[in-house]
Amino acid sequence: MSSLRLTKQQHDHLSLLQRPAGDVVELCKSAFDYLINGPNPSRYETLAKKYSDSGSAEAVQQAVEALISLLISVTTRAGGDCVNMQAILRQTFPDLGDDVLEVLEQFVTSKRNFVEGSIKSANIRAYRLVNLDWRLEVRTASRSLLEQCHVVVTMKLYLHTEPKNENRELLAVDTSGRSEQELKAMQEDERLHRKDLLVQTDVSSLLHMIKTLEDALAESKTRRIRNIVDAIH
Amino acid sequence: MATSPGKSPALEAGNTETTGLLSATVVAGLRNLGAIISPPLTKLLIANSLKLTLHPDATIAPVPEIYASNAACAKQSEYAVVTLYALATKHGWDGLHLRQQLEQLGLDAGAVDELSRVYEDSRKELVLRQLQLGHSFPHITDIQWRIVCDVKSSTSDCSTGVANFHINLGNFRPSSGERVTIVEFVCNAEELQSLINRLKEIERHCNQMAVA
Repeated sequence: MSSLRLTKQQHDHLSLLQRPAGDVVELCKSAFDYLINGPNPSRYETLAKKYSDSGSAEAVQQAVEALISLLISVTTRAGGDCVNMQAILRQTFPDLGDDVLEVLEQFVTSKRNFVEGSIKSANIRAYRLVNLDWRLEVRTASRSLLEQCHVVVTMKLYLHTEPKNENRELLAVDTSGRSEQELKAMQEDERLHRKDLLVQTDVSSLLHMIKTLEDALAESKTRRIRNIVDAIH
Repeated sequence: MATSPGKSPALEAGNTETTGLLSATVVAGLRNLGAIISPPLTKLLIANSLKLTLHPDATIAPVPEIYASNAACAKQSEYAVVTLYALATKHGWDGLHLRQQLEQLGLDAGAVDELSRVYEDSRKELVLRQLQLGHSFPHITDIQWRIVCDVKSSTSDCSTGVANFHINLGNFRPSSGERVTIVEFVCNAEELQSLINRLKEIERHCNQMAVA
Protein backbone atom coordinates (compact mmCIF):
# COMPACT_ATOMS: atom_id res chain seq x y z
CA MET A 1 0.00 0.00 0.00
CA SER A 2 1.68 3.22 -1.11
CA SER A 3 1.51 6.53 0.71
CA LEU A 4 -0.70 9.45 -0.25
CA ARG A 5 0.81 11.91 -2.67
CA LEU A 6 0.87 15.18 -0.77
CA THR A 7 2.74 18.25 -1.97
CA LYS A 8 5.62 19.68 0.00
CA GLN A 9 3.42 22.65 0.87
CA GLN A 10 0.71 20.37 2.25
CA HIS A 11 3.31 18.51 4.32
CA ASP A 12 4.57 21.85 5.63
CA HIS A 13 1.06 22.96 6.53
CA LEU A 14 0.51 19.69 8.37
CA SER A 15 3.56 20.21 10.58
CA LEU A 16 1.12 21.16 13.35
CA LEU A 17 0.21 17.49 13.54
CA GLN A 18 3.48 16.91 15.39
CA ARG A 19 1.78 17.93 18.59
CA PRO A 20 0.05 15.91 21.30
CA ALA A 21 -2.96 13.88 20.17
CA GLY A 22 -5.33 16.17 22.11
CA ASP A 23 -4.25 19.17 19.99
CA VAL A 24 -4.66 17.16 16.81
CA VAL A 25 -8.22 16.29 17.89
CA GLU A 26 -8.89 20.04 18.20
CA LEU A 27 -7.55 20.61 14.69
CA CYS A 28 -9.68 17.78 13.29
CA LYS A 29 -12.78 19.22 14.97
CA SER A 30 -11.96 22.58 13.40
CA ALA A 31 -11.73 20.85 10.02
CA PHE A 32 -15.21 19.32 10.52
CA ASP A 33 -16.51 22.74 11.44
CA TYR A 34 -14.87 24.18 8.30
CA LEU A 35 -16.71 21.60 6.15
CA ILE A 36 -20.06 22.69 7.47
CA ASN A 37 -19.70 26.37 8.33
CA GLY A 38 -16.62 27.52 6.44
CA PRO A 39 -13.51 29.11 8.00
CA ASN A 40 -13.71 30.45 11.54
CA PRO A 41 -10.78 32.90 12.08
CA SER A 42 -11.55 33.59 15.75
CA ARG A 43 -11.36 29.88 16.53
CA TYR A 44 -7.98 29.68 14.75
CA GLU A 45 -6.80 32.70 16.72
CA THR A 46 -7.65 30.95 19.98
CA LEU A 47 -5.90 27.77 18.90
CA ALA A 48 -2.83 29.75 17.76
CA LYS A 49 -2.60 31.37 21.19
CA LYS A 50 -2.83 27.93 22.77
CA TYR A 51 0.04 26.69 20.56
CA SER A 52 2.07 29.77 21.40
CA ASP A 53 5.29 27.99 20.51
CA SER A 54 4.38 27.22 16.93
CA GLY A 55 2.42 29.46 14.74
CA SER A 56 -0.11 32.10 13.96
CA ALA A 57 -3.84 31.93 13.26
CA GLU A 58 -2.92 31.74 9.59
CA ALA A 59 -0.78 28.65 10.19
CA VAL A 60 -3.68 27.02 12.05
CA GLN A 61 -6.07 27.78 9.18
CA GLN A 62 -3.57 26.35 6.69
CA ALA A 63 -3.30 23.20 8.80
CA VAL A 64 -7.09 22.88 8.91
CA GLU A 65 -7.31 23.30 5.14
CA ALA A 66 -4.52 20.78 4.63
CA LEU A 67 -6.46 18.32 6.79
CA ILE A 68 -9.50 18.75 4.53
CA SER A 69 -7.24 18.26 1.54
CA LEU A 70 -5.96 15.07 3.18
CA LEU A 71 -9.54 13.92 3.72
CA ILE A 72 -10.34 14.49 0.05
CA SER A 73 -7.16 12.71 -1.09
CA VAL A 74 -7.91 9.69 1.08
CA THR A 75 -11.50 9.51 -0.15
CA THR A 76 -10.58 9.96 -3.82
CA ARG A 77 -7.80 7.45 -3.64
CA ALA A 78 -9.28 4.81 -1.40
CA GLY A 79 -12.76 4.30 -2.69
CA GLY A 80 -13.02 0.68 -1.56
CA ASP A 81 -14.00 -0.02 2.01
CA CYS A 82 -11.47 -2.80 2.61
CA VAL A 83 -8.53 -0.45 2.65
CA ASN A 84 -6.08 -0.43 5.49
CA MET A 85 -6.29 3.23 6.28
CA GLN A 86 -3.80 3.16 9.11
CA ALA A 87 -1.11 1.65 6.87
CA ILE A 88 -1.58 4.40 4.29
CA LEU A 89 -1.43 7.10 6.93
CA ARG A 90 1.64 5.55 8.55
CA GLN A 91 3.47 5.56 5.23
CA THR A 92 2.40 9.12 4.50
CA PHE A 93 3.39 10.42 7.95
CA PRO A 94 6.21 8.13 9.17
CA ASP A 95 7.27 10.60 11.86
CA LEU A 96 3.88 10.79 13.66
CA GLY A 97 3.11 8.83 16.82
CA ASP A 98 0.58 6.01 16.99
CA ASP A 99 -1.91 8.04 19.03
CA VAL A 100 -1.90 10.90 16.48
CA LEU A 101 -2.25 8.43 13.60
CA GLU A 102 -5.25 6.90 15.36
CA VAL A 103 -6.88 10.33 15.64
CA LEU A 104 -6.19 10.94 11.94
CA GLU A 105 -7.66 7.60 10.99
CA GLN A 106 -10.83 8.36 12.90
CA PHE A 107 -10.94 11.76 11.23
CA VAL A 108 -10.68 10.45 7.68
CA THR A 109 -13.06 7.52 8.15
CA SER A 110 -15.81 9.29 10.07
CA LYS A 111 -16.44 11.92 7.41
CA ARG A 112 -15.63 9.79 4.41
CA ASN A 113 -19.22 9.19 3.35
CA PHE A 114 -19.92 12.89 3.50
CA VAL A 115 -16.90 13.77 1.39
CA GLU A 116 -17.42 10.82 -0.93
CA GLY A 117 -20.93 11.98 -1.77
CA SER A 118 -19.73 15.48 -2.39
CA ILE A 119 -16.70 14.79 -4.55
CA LYS A 120 -18.39 12.17 -6.68
CA SER A 121 -21.30 14.43 -7.40
CA ALA A 122 -19.11 17.50 -7.76
CA ASN A 123 -17.89 16.11 -11.03
CA ILE A 124 -20.74 16.99 -13.35
CA ARG A 125 -23.63 18.47 -11.48
CA ALA A 126 -26.86 17.45 -13.06
CA TYR A 127 -30.21 18.44 -11.61
CA ARG A 128 -31.93 15.86 -9.46
CA LEU A 129 -35.64 15.71 -8.85
CA VAL A 130 -36.25 16.54 -5.20
CA ASN A 131 -40.01 16.92 -5.12
CA LEU A 132 -43.06 17.14 -7.35
CA ASP A 133 -46.29 19.03 -6.75
CA TRP A 134 -49.25 18.54 -9.06
CA ARG A 135 -52.67 19.96 -9.79
CA LEU A 136 -55.45 18.62 -11.97
CA GLU A 137 -57.06 21.39 -14.01
CA VAL A 138 -59.79 21.76 -16.59
CA ARG A 139 -59.35 24.67 -18.97
CA THR A 140 -62.82 25.88 -19.80
CA ALA A 141 -62.15 28.96 -21.97
CA SER A 142 -59.33 30.96 -23.47
CA ARG A 143 -59.06 34.10 -25.57
CA SER A 144 -58.75 32.10 -28.77
CA LEU A 145 -61.36 29.44 -27.94
CA LEU A 146 -64.30 30.46 -25.80
CA GLU A 147 -65.85 27.04 -25.31
CA GLN A 148 -63.56 24.18 -24.43
CA CYS A 149 -63.05 21.43 -21.89
CA HIS A 150 -59.40 20.57 -21.81
CA VAL A 151 -58.06 18.42 -18.97
CA VAL A 152 -54.53 19.37 -17.99
CA VAL A 153 -52.19 18.09 -15.31
CA THR A 154 -49.93 20.89 -14.12
CA MET A 155 -46.78 19.81 -12.30
CA LYS A 156 -44.13 21.72 -10.45
CA LEU A 157 -40.76 20.00 -10.52
CA TYR A 158 -38.32 20.90 -7.76
CA LEU A 159 -34.81 20.29 -9.02
CA HIS A 160 -31.56 20.56 -7.13
CA THR A 161 -27.95 19.98 -8.04
CA GLU A 162 -27.06 18.97 -4.48
CA PRO A 163 -27.87 15.28 -4.61
CA LYS A 164 -27.07 13.98 -1.18
CA ASN A 165 -29.72 14.39 1.44
CA GLU A 166 -27.15 15.11 4.10
CA ASN A 167 -25.75 17.94 2.00
CA ARG A 168 -29.17 19.30 1.18
CA GLU A 169 -30.04 19.34 4.83
CA LEU A 170 -27.10 21.63 5.36
CA LEU A 171 -28.74 24.05 2.99
CA ALA A 172 -32.12 23.71 4.63
CA VAL A 173 -30.71 23.88 8.13
CA ASP A 174 -32.52 25.90 10.77
CA THR A 175 -31.75 29.52 9.98
CA SER A 176 -32.22 30.86 13.49
CA GLY A 177 -29.05 32.02 15.11
CA ARG A 178 -27.23 32.51 11.82
CA SER A 179 -25.57 35.72 10.88
CA GLU A 180 -26.83 37.83 8.01
CA GLN A 181 -23.74 36.97 6.02
CA GLU A 182 -24.30 33.24 6.51
CA LEU A 183 -27.95 33.55 5.50
CA LYS A 184 -26.98 35.48 2.39
CA ALA A 185 -24.47 32.79 1.44
CA MET A 186 -27.16 30.14 1.91
CA GLN A 187 -29.64 32.06 -0.24
CA GLU A 188 -27.00 32.48 -2.93
CA ASP A 189 -26.36 28.76 -2.82
CA GLU A 190 -30.09 28.10 -3.21
CA ARG A 191 -30.21 30.44 -6.18
CA LEU A 192 -27.29 28.71 -7.85
CA HIS A 193 -28.30 25.13 -7.23
CA ARG A 194 -32.08 25.11 -7.32
CA LYS A 195 -34.49 25.20 -10.20
CA ASP A 196 -38.26 24.97 -9.91
CA LEU A 197 -40.07 24.32 -13.14
CA LEU A 198 -43.76 24.41 -14.03
CA VAL A 199 -44.82 22.01 -16.75
CA GLN A 200 -48.07 20.48 -17.89
CA THR A 201 -49.23 17.32 -19.55
CA ASP A 202 -52.41 15.59 -20.62
CA VAL A 203 -53.78 12.35 -19.24
CA SER A 204 -52.72 10.12 -22.15
CA SER A 205 -49.18 11.54 -22.07
CA LEU A 206 -49.16 10.93 -18.32
CA LEU A 207 -49.98 7.25 -18.89
CA HIS A 208 -47.26 7.09 -21.52
CA MET A 209 -44.78 8.62 -19.06
CA ILE A 210 -45.65 6.11 -16.33
CA LYS A 211 -45.28 3.18 -18.72
CA THR A 212 -41.94 4.44 -20.07
CA LEU A 213 -40.51 5.05 -16.60
CA GLU A 214 -41.63 1.61 -15.42
CA ASP A 215 -39.83 0.11 -18.43
CA ALA A 216 -36.67 2.00 -17.42
CA LEU A 217 -36.89 0.78 -13.84
CA ALA A 218 -37.55 -2.82 -14.94
CA GLU A 219 -34.58 -2.65 -17.30
CA SER A 220 -32.27 -1.50 -14.51
CA LYS A 221 -33.18 -4.58 -12.50
CA THR A 222 -32.26 -7.06 -15.24
CA ARG A 223 -29.35 -9.42 -14.67
CA ARG A 224 -27.48 -7.85 -17.58
CA ILE A 225 -27.46 -4.36 -16.09
CA ARG A 226 -26.69 -5.68 -12.60
CA ASN A 227 -23.72 -7.65 -13.92
CA ILE A 228 -22.34 -4.62 -15.71
CA VAL A 229 -22.70 -2.35 -12.66
CA ASP A 230 -21.09 -4.97 -10.37
CA ALA A 231 -18.24 -5.46 -12.84
CA ILE A 232 -17.55 -1.72 -12.99
CA HIS A 233 -17.64 -1.42 -9.22
CA MET B 1 -53.46 36.45 -35.80
CA ALA B 2 -55.86 39.34 -35.65
CA THR B 3 -58.71 38.37 -33.43
CA SER B 4 -59.50 41.66 -31.81
CA PRO B 5 -63.00 42.89 -32.34
CA GLY B 6 -63.18 45.53 -35.02
CA LYS B 7 -64.39 49.03 -34.37
CA SER B 8 -66.07 49.23 -37.71
CA PRO B 9 -68.41 51.86 -38.95
CA ALA B 10 -71.91 50.69 -39.70
CA LEU B 11 -71.82 48.14 -42.46
CA GLU B 12 -74.19 48.08 -45.35
CA ALA B 13 -75.45 44.64 -44.45
CA GLY B 14 -75.12 42.23 -41.55
CA ASN B 15 -76.61 41.73 -38.13
CA THR B 16 -75.29 43.13 -34.87
CA GLU B 17 -73.33 40.00 -33.99
CA THR B 18 -71.35 39.93 -37.21
CA THR B 19 -70.76 43.65 -37.38
CA GLY B 20 -69.42 43.49 -33.84
CA LEU B 21 -66.94 40.76 -34.73
CA LEU B 22 -65.82 41.50 -38.28
CA SER B 23 -64.19 44.81 -39.02
CA ALA B 24 -64.91 46.80 -42.17
CA THR B 25 -61.52 45.75 -43.56
CA VAL B 26 -62.39 42.07 -43.11
CA VAL B 27 -65.82 42.46 -44.68
CA ALA B 28 -64.29 44.32 -47.63
CA GLY B 29 -61.68 41.59 -48.00
CA LEU B 30 -64.39 38.93 -48.05
CA ARG B 31 -66.36 40.88 -50.63
CA ASN B 32 -63.39 40.80 -53.00
CA LEU B 33 -63.73 37.01 -53.18
CA GLY B 34 -65.49 35.85 -56.32
CA ALA B 35 -65.66 39.48 -57.49
CA ILE B 36 -62.35 41.30 -57.97
CA ILE B 37 -60.62 37.98 -57.38
CA SER B 38 -61.79 35.37 -59.86
CA PRO B 39 -63.53 32.18 -58.58
CA PRO B 40 -60.57 29.82 -59.31
CA LEU B 41 -58.16 32.21 -57.56
CA THR B 42 -60.65 32.61 -54.70
CA LYS B 43 -60.54 28.86 -54.15
CA LEU B 44 -56.75 28.90 -54.16
CA LEU B 45 -56.57 31.92 -51.87
CA ILE B 46 -58.92 30.32 -49.31
CA ALA B 47 -56.90 27.07 -49.38
CA ASN B 48 -53.64 28.97 -48.87
CA SER B 49 -55.07 31.09 -46.07
CA LEU B 50 -56.28 27.98 -44.26
CA LYS B 51 -52.88 26.33 -44.65
CA LEU B 52 -51.24 29.44 -43.24
CA THR B 53 -53.61 29.38 -40.28
CA LEU B 54 -53.09 25.73 -39.46
CA HIS B 55 -49.36 25.57 -40.18
CA PRO B 56 -47.76 29.00 -39.83
CA ASP B 57 -44.29 27.56 -40.51
CA ALA B 58 -45.35 25.69 -43.66
CA THR B 59 -43.89 26.62 -47.00
CA ILE B 60 -46.69 27.59 -49.33
CA ALA B 61 -46.02 27.21 -53.04
CA PRO B 62 -45.92 30.66 -54.62
CA VAL B 63 -48.91 31.49 -56.78
CA PRO B 64 -47.90 34.70 -58.54
CA GLU B 65 -51.21 35.02 -60.38
CA ILE B 66 -53.03 35.73 -57.07
CA TYR B 67 -50.99 38.89 -56.69
CA ALA B 68 -50.47 39.68 -60.41
CA SER B 69 -53.29 42.19 -60.48
CA ASN B 70 -54.85 43.76 -57.38
CA ALA B 71 -52.16 42.50 -55.01
CA ALA B 72 -53.47 44.76 -52.24
CA CYS B 73 -56.98 43.27 -52.57
CA ALA B 74 -55.59 39.74 -52.51
CA LYS B 75 -53.65 40.43 -49.31
CA GLN B 76 -56.68 42.02 -47.72
CA SER B 77 -58.74 38.96 -48.65
CA GLU B 78 -56.16 36.58 -47.18
CA TYR B 79 -56.26 38.56 -43.96
CA ALA B 80 -60.08 38.48 -44.07
CA VAL B 81 -60.28 34.69 -44.51
CA VAL B 82 -57.80 34.04 -41.69
CA THR B 83 -59.70 36.41 -39.40
CA LEU B 84 -63.07 34.93 -40.33
CA TYR B 85 -61.98 31.38 -39.53
CA ALA B 86 -60.27 32.47 -36.30
CA LEU B 87 -63.35 34.27 -35.06
CA ALA B 88 -65.75 31.53 -36.16
CA THR B 89 -63.62 28.94 -34.33
CA LYS B 90 -63.25 31.14 -31.26
CA HIS B 91 -67.03 31.57 -30.97
CA GLY B 92 -67.78 27.94 -31.78
CA TRP B 93 -69.87 28.60 -34.91
CA ASP B 94 -70.98 25.57 -36.87
CA GLY B 95 -70.95 25.50 -40.69
CA LEU B 96 -74.55 26.63 -40.98
CA HIS B 97 -74.05 29.58 -38.68
CA LEU B 98 -70.99 30.68 -40.65
CA ARG B 99 -72.97 30.46 -43.90
CA GLN B 100 -75.80 32.56 -42.44
CA GLN B 101 -73.37 35.22 -41.28
CA LEU B 102 -71.68 35.37 -44.69
CA GLU B 103 -74.97 35.49 -46.56
CA GLN B 104 -76.02 38.50 -44.48
CA LEU B 105 -72.88 40.28 -45.65
CA GLY B 106 -74.01 39.97 -49.26
CA LEU B 107 -70.96 38.07 -50.48
CA ASP B 108 -70.62 36.24 -53.77
CA ALA B 109 -72.59 32.95 -53.55
CA GLY B 110 -69.67 30.86 -54.84
CA ALA B 111 -67.32 32.40 -52.29
CA VAL B 112 -69.84 31.70 -49.48
CA ASP B 113 -70.07 28.05 -50.60
CA GLU B 114 -66.32 27.64 -50.70
CA LEU B 115 -65.70 29.43 -47.38
CA SER B 116 -68.40 27.32 -45.66
CA ARG B 117 -67.21 24.05 -47.19
CA VAL B 118 -63.57 24.59 -46.22
CA TYR B 119 -64.62 25.65 -42.70
CA GLU B 120 -66.77 22.54 -42.24
CA ASP B 121 -64.00 20.28 -43.50
CA SER B 122 -61.30 21.85 -41.31
CA ARG B 123 -63.22 22.73 -38.19
CA LYS B 124 -61.56 20.09 -36.03
CA GLU B 125 -58.06 21.17 -37.07
CA LEU B 126 -58.95 24.82 -36.49
CA VAL B 127 -60.15 24.03 -32.95
CA LEU B 128 -56.98 22.04 -32.20
CA ARG B 129 -54.86 24.86 -33.58
CA GLN B 130 -56.57 27.44 -31.42
CA LEU B 131 -56.27 25.23 -28.37
CA GLN B 132 -52.51 25.67 -28.72
CA LEU B 133 -52.67 29.45 -28.79
CA GLY B 134 -52.18 31.61 -25.76
CA HIS B 135 -50.23 31.11 -22.60
CA SER B 136 -49.61 27.69 -21.12
CA PHE B 137 -46.78 25.90 -19.38
CA PRO B 138 -44.47 23.72 -21.49
CA HIS B 139 -46.50 20.67 -22.44
CA ILE B 140 -44.82 17.30 -21.97
CA THR B 141 -45.75 14.62 -24.47
CA ASP B 142 -42.57 12.58 -24.62
CA ILE B 143 -40.16 11.08 -22.12
CA GLN B 144 -36.74 9.61 -22.82
CA TRP B 145 -34.41 7.80 -20.44
CA ARG B 146 -30.98 6.30 -20.25
CA ILE B 147 -29.30 4.26 -17.54
CA VAL B 148 -25.78 5.40 -16.71
CA CYS B 149 -23.17 4.04 -14.33
CA ASP B 150 -19.93 5.95 -13.76
CA VAL B 151 -16.60 4.15 -13.98
CA LYS B 152 -14.11 6.85 -12.99
CA SER B 153 -14.11 10.61 -12.98
CA SER B 154 -11.90 13.64 -12.60
CA THR B 155 -12.93 13.91 -8.97
CA SER B 156 -13.03 10.26 -7.99
CA ASP B 157 -10.94 7.26 -8.93
CA CYS B 158 -13.67 4.77 -8.27
CA SER B 159 -17.22 4.06 -9.38
CA THR B 160 -20.20 4.94 -7.21
CA GLY B 161 -21.42 1.43 -7.97
CA VAL B 162 -24.98 2.44 -8.69
CA ALA B 163 -26.85 2.97 -11.92
CA ASN B 164 -28.49 6.35 -12.35
CA PHE B 165 -31.36 7.28 -14.62
CA HIS B 166 -31.15 10.35 -16.84
CA ILE B 167 -34.72 11.38 -17.54
CA ASN B 168 -35.52 13.81 -20.31
CA LEU B 169 -38.99 15.32 -20.60
CA GLY B 170 -39.92 17.05 -23.81
CA ASN B 171 -42.30 17.39 -26.69
CA PHE B 172 -42.34 17.59 -30.48
CA ARG B 173 -42.74 20.78 -32.47
CA PRO B 174 -46.04 20.34 -34.35
CA SER B 175 -44.77 22.03 -37.50
CA SER B 176 -41.44 20.28 -38.01
CA GLY B 177 -41.67 17.23 -35.76
CA GLU B 178 -38.41 18.31 -34.14
CA ARG B 179 -38.01 17.18 -30.53
CA VAL B 180 -37.65 19.87 -27.90
CA THR B 181 -36.23 19.15 -24.43
CA ILE B 182 -38.13 20.84 -21.61
CA VAL B 183 -36.20 19.50 -18.64
CA GLU B 184 -33.59 16.88 -17.89
CA PHE B 185 -32.74 15.46 -14.50
CA VAL B 186 -31.03 12.53 -12.85
CA CYS B 187 -32.40 10.14 -10.27
CA ASN B 188 -31.50 6.82 -8.70
CA ALA B 189 -33.75 3.76 -8.63
CA GLU B 190 -35.37 4.75 -5.36
CA GLU B 191 -36.12 8.29 -6.56
CA LEU B 192 -37.44 6.94 -9.87
CA GLN B 193 -39.80 4.57 -8.04
CA SER B 194 -41.02 7.48 -5.97
CA LEU B 195 -41.60 9.55 -9.14
CA ILE B 196 -43.58 6.68 -10.72
CA ASN B 197 -45.69 6.39 -7.57
CA ARG B 198 -46.39 10.12 -7.64
CA LEU B 199 -47.44 10.00 -11.31
CA LYS B 200 -49.68 7.01 -10.61
CA GLU B 201 -51.28 8.98 -7.81
CA ILE B 202 -52.13 11.71 -10.34
CA GLU B 203 -53.52 9.09 -12.73
CA ARG B 204 -55.68 7.66 -9.95
CA HIS B 205 -57.13 11.07 -9.21
CA CYS B 206 -57.82 11.64 -12.92
CA ASN B 207 -59.73 8.35 -13.03
CA GLN B 208 -61.74 9.30 -9.95
CA MET B 209 -62.63 12.61 -11.61
CA ALA B 210 -63.72 10.80 -14.78
CA VAL B 211 -65.97 8.43 -12.80
CA ALA B 212 -67.48 11.27 -10.77
